[in-house]
Amino acid sequence: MADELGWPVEEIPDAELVFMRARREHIRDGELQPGVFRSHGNGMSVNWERYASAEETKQQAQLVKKDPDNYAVISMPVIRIRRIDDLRVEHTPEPTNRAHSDVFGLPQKGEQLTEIRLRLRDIATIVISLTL
Amino acid sequence: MSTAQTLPWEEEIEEKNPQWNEPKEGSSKRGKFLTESPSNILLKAEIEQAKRILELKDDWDGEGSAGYSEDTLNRAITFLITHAQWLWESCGISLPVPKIGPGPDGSIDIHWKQPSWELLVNIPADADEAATFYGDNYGAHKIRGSLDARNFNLGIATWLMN
Repeated sequence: MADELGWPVEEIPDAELVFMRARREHIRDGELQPGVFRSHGNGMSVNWERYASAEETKQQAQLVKKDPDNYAVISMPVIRIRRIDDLRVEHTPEPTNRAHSDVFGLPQKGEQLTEIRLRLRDIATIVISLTL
Repeated sequence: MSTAQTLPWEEEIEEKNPQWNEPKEGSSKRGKFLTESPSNILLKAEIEQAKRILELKDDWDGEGSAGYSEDTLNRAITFLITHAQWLWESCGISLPVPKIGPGPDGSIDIHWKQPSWELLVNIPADADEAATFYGDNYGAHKIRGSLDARNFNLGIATWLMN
């Protein structure tokens, strides 16, 4: 029924968290690097904690035919994302992922993008470390 | 003085920048930059590991991210060494060793995270585009702008001296 009707779009409260996978290449000496933050298409995909755990977010790497062991998972407070320039966090559920959401508003390139990436890095926390 | 084998990056940099290997007239810090700076070993190691970025080809993340070119990485390393050399020869300061990593759209990130400041310099894949930077001292002082990665930038060098 979900495939036919789709999941309802909901408002993500400021007080909640979103999760995002971070590939091995973006973790150095246990620290997250700003290169992890990039748009794919219109937005930067994240998972809303209400409908997906950090571990589920990690395992979803298989959906893009990637090995979950090559990913860490980070969390970011929604309110702190929304405080960065014009960034928006919106629930954009997909048939196979009710938690799917997007961070919209990342510039395509330029000084502002560089700034935003560093500011996002500073509000992110690694909640699942890389598998060694 | 170290007699270790010259790294491939060193050979290329020395070939393109022979002046770096000449003792600076009147300088109290004579000799080859790449072998004299105290943080040189760590910096060379970071540069060496950055070569692995070139192994990331188009769609390396399964989400359509672009791969990385040797030209982009070369420009990033040249930028880094230019400023490292200036700090050493002009001020006797060793450049804090950054992390060189994959940025968006085939760009290269050079990221410093220090106790009292942070700086991100992004070298774009397009050599005709300006590099961009953003820095923060965790207080009131922030810097942001664009620069020509092929040239020395005094503002960046000053920030790196913090």
